[in-house]
Amino acid sequence: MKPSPHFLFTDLFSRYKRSPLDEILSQNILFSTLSRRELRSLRGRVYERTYQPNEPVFEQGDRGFGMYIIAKGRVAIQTHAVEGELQVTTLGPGSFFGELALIDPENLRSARAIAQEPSVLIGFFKADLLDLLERQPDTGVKVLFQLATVLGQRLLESTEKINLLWGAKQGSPYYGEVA
Amino acid sequence: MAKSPERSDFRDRVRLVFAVSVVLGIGAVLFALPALGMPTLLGGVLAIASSPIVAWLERRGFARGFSVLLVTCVGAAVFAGVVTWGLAVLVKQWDGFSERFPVLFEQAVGRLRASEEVWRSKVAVFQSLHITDALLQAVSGSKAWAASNAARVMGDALVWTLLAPFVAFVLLKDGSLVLRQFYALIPNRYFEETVMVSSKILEALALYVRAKLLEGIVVGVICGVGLAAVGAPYAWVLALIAGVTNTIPYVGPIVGAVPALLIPLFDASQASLLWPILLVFLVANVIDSFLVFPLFVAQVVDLHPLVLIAVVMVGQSAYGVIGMLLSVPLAASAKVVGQELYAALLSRRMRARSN
Repeated sequence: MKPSPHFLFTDLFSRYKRSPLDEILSQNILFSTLSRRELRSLRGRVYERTYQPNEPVFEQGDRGFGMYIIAKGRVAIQTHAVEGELQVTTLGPGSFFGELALIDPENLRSARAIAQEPSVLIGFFKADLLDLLERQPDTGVKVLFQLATVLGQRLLESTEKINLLWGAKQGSPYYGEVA
Repeated sequence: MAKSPERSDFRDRVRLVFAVSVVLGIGAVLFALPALGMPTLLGGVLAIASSPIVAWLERRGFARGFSVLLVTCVGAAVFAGVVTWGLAVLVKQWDGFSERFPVLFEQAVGRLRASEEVWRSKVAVFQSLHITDALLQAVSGSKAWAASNAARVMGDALVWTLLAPFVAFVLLKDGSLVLRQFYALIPNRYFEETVMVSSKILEALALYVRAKLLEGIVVGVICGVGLAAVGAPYAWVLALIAGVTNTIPYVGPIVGAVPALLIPLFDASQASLLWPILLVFLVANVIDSFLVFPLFVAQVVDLHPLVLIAVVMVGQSAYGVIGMLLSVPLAASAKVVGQELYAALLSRRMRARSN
């Protein structure tokens, strides 16, 4: 996906054309409530990066600065465990990861993200979100609200998983010894 | 076909070196060619100063392109008006000043020689000093330099000030695109850190420039009002000089006060204005030092005063007054880069240990 060429005066008077990037952004839950005009302004604030197979996107413990949306390819999320690398999940086109870095000031990546095949990722960073909030606060607030919704959903999922695990442990014959 | 990790490492390092070389190369060209560097610097300052106004217009629903065009046109019109007014005032006052200057100069030299004789008779160490002759030598040297270079310097300054609004327009409109083209050169493994560091540097530079501009405006207005109130001639021209020179760290307030203080020293009829003019500059600098600087500038720079002094001295020895102006923002940027590089190295070392 090549960026459209920019020339001073044609850009001032250019008519809006929907690009494939707008399609990918509009399908992402964080940007699903944005209008076409807002998506167009967002297009200038995201970064398109290409990754080769087995190329890390970021390592566990790195300082995070933004999130990534998978436009093409697959990305594995891995963590270090005592036994070695533990594959948490594999994400495909349309998924996103690293969104906590948008709001956490000292975010350290809790896992490693590594491309499993030739992948195209779209990066959206904290500085661009802050710039969006300064210049287009309506759009920025919509993105923040959707981000809060996503984080709330993930917190609920994590709580349910912990409850299930705790319930399974209580039903386990070894529960008494553990307790 | 997947590349080997070693080949990828080498390729990434080559790309990073290339990207850094591009930045350093552009910086070196701008540094070496003032005809390019000065309009770029002035345009950058104008862009940073205008950016909050552009953001304000965008918040009200105007498109970015239109906002930039409007701000640039209005800014250019105001700038042209100020320059036209300033030139008219300057030409009018210069004509009168140049007619009276030889007489005033002779009077000042006479008074200096008389004072020198008095001090020589009182203090033995002054007998070996020839301050008036040394000053006359320095002045004649400056006169010779001014005679051969003044026209060129004024011509250059005029071209720079005419080009600066165009540079500001391009930076406001397409500056982020240029930055994105630079990011495309950065390999993936360093991409996020580069974006983080460059955004912090740009934020620090923008805050510093806006803080210094505000400081200059406050000092200029206080001096203008004060000098006009005490009846000093050329009050607003002197205030403009004081406001502009105030941006030079440490010596700026002194440099700004010198032209105003020379008036009562040169012109005996204005001698009574010496203490009022001194008081005006003292009040302006006290307000600057205790109110404006701590509130707006100090927290942006966040460098130890000794470090600031050393940095300003290095800037002055490297590139004169321009070096002094640029040294502090460059030092603040270097501090950001150093902090981020250190944090990145630390996290990589911790990761290597945990692996």
